[in-house]
Amino acid sequence: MLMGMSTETVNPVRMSRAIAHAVLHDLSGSQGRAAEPLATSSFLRLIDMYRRNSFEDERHLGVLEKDNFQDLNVGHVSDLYERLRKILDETIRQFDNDDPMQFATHIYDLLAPFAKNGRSTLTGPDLAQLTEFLKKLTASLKNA
Amino acid sequence: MLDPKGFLLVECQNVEQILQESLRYRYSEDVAAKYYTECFARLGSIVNGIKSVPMDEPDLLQDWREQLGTLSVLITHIERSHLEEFPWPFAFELERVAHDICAHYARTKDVLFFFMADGSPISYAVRGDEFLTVRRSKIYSVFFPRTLKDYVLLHAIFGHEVGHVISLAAGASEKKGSEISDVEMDLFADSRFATIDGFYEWCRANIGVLSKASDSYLKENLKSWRREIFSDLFGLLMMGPSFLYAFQSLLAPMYAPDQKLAFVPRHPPYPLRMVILHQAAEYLKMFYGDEGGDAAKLFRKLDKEFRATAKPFLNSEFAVVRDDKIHAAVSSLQKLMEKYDKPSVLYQRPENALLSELIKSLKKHIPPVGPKQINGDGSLQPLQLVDFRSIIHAGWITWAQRSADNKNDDLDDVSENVSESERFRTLNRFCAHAIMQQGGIRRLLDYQLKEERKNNQ
Repeated sequence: MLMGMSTETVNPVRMSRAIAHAVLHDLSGSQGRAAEPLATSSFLRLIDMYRRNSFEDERHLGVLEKDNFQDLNVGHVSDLYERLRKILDETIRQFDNDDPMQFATHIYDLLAPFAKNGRSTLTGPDLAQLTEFLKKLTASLKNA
Repeated sequence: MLDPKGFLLVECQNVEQILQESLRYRYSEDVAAKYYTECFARLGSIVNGIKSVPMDEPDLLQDWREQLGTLSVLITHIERSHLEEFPWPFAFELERVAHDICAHYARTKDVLFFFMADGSPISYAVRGDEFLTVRRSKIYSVFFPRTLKDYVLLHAIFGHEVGHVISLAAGASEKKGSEISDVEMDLFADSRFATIDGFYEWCRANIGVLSKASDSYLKENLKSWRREIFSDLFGLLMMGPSFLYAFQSLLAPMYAPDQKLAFVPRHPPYPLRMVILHQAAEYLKMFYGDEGGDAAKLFRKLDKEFRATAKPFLNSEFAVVRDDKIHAAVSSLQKLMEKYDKPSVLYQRPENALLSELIKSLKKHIPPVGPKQINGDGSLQPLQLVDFRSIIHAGWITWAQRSADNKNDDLDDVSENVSESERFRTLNRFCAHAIMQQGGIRRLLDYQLKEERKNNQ
């Protein structure tokens, strides 16, 4: 082996940041008209996981199955999902809304059309709110 | 020199090239097209992700690199998947039966099954994409042991692997409150495995564990044991009695009765699993020979063999899980699996007459395709579809009866100078052939039904 892999599995915190960043980049570059559909779908799964509060479900990976105790920089996969949930929750709560679930659903609805074929039209406050949310989220995930 | 982003974009180009080339390999055309479309879409997403990474954020490249690596491995697996290396008719039947329940627990309708052969008998596996894989469809990779290509009787063990997929996808073993995790969590209640300390003490006393390591390590092992037992029970309900014989045949050689150091990470010891399977099969009345009459003639020999192998463990230290807990788990699982009935995930016991017909064919060295009728023009026509699990069950009964008949049936007359292992292989090949023919029968019956409907309009 040339060198050891940094992790044996996907780090959900880092991967979520990469995905959020890609979606943000697409939306900004197209003025809200395009976002790559698969990355958008992945992001929607994340939002959906938040709405259903099913982060526990993804912690099944467990220390024996995936964690190899070598990647001391990131901790165990089972802990990372909890960290991801907290960051998403904190980011959503930064926005002026009474109901975080409602806000999450709003974000989901804005992005959902892009997941089909990568095209939709977002303008004005919707685009501004979505890009603001993605910016805050990527920044928080970077510091996680 | 290439910068990291430049290198990854070059690698994306290479992966695309491999993807184009992989279509030339021997994999059925329509299946290859589905994978091509899925992999191509994933690659497009990864390329887009890499391109979006600014120069001052090289960390973001790591995650796209991992996605690209995962995709490359998947494509090279597809490239190396050859239909002639695994029993594809069995694989497609497995997919047909497992698709809906897997899709339900994966929370998506877009599910693809990918098959390949690899390694030895311990290679049996079904693995799914991770949650954050950029994807349109969820891909389940199904691994057959390369060495056991023809052995469809042993492939009944796949019921266990499908159980793993369901257990993992449902996120079981972590919390109470979902139907699957409840089944798993309740299994060890009121037993010595109800606490970490009890679990460690049992392992120390019975399978030679010397050190407690850490609580988290023990906890993870306990969770894995629960999952293994859940998957065994799922496999039994999905594949029927054949699961018992496949399980015993594949796992007994891996168990050394005199060896005290029998701890294998993540897996409960073979005798403990045998006890649970035996108790579950008794509860389900799967030892059909107990019914007497025709059933006794058909099943008793096979029932007796399995009971004899399980007997030494039944009242031993390996009888840890309470019978009522096993019964409850089986009942709950049954209810849960009943919902998936087109086709049925649960094993449906065939009529004794049908099994007898299949066994008769096998003894005459004819693939057990099922009952047929002779048309007016002398041509043969199948009367009904036979579930692949019934064919496998008939195979196991034939194998047991062959030994019992002590070279008195047709199979033995023909095979007098053939080794036991060769006979077992031949029997498996007949069954594999019959499973393949069910695909043709299904098409014929569908066509006839369509014609009938057309004529009635």
